[in-house]
Amino acid sequence: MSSLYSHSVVPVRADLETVHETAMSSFSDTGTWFNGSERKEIVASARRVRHREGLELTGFVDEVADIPLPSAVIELTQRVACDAGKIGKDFYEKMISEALSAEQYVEVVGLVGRAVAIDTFCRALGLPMNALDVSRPGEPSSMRPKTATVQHAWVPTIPTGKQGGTDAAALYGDADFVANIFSALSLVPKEASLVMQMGQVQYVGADDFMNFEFRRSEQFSRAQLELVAARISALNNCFY
Amino acid sequence: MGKVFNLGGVVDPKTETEVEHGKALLAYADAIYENDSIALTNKREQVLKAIGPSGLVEAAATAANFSMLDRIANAAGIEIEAMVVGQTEDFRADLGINDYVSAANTLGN
Repeated sequence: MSSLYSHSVVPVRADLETVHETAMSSFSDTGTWFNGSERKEIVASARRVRHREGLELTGFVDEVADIPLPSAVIELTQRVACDAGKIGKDFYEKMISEALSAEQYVEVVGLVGRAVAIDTFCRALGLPMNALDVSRPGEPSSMRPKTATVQHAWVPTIPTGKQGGTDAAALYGDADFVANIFSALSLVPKEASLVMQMGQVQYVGADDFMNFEFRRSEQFSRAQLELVAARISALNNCFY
Repeated sequence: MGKVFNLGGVVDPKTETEVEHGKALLAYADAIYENDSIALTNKREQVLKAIGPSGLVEAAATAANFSMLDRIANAAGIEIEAMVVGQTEDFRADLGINDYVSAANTLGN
């Protein structure tokens, strides 16, 4: 059975391949606020708009199926895919006032962010895009974490520690501190969890974050890693 | 004391960063971000020659990761943690980072 990156000229480590396989599968699964068809459509729309903007995605296949989505979801998908660096609070508030809940906003941001990551990885290595799975049936759970509140972001997030109660325990374990980037999508815990999983494997795990000698490859130092990370963030106009 | 690197290369790739193969890595990051597939192929080959296949995969994974996290940070409007604000104050203005739209989430400007 062929795996996601079995055709790659350069060997891709197994944990990276596994976390991308999980993410690819999740795009067509039932979510918390969108069903599988809608989630697949959001990812396909993000890819379409990036392709239209001129980004050469190897082996691009337009998988948009014209599933009806609210216009605010389409606009948000396009902005996150292509122009997230110019998103301000006024845009968020406009989206939330246009028949889009904060929970739906967060789920779309997570889907598009994760999809762009995988497409970026493939493009960076000269690999063709991964095809999307057939969407799976099911109704969204619409489960909102009771403790989520506005703290360090425009969107509500689950606080750490006792304040976050069972929501925090389920998502963060017993961690007293969670970086804001990893709690950013906690209003939709499934998305936040998948982002954390990808972050641990694509970058540095929480246990190794302060270990400046950490390296997954003898040929790629922490300094080299941080240089690439910082350059990509500068290109994305990301202050964080 | 550890080795000192020049962060100026992050916003101006012509600046020498003192990071080993830094120029090739910055050029690769730029090519991943931009729309020229031929340039990307060339820069990928240069990185492959410089740091080998496992290094190339790690560079690609890093670019992927920050393509994701930057979008999430910008779209969710997160603030930088208070302890990091002070630690980065000395170079943010020099690098022009304070002018990003998302700086307002932390600095309130």
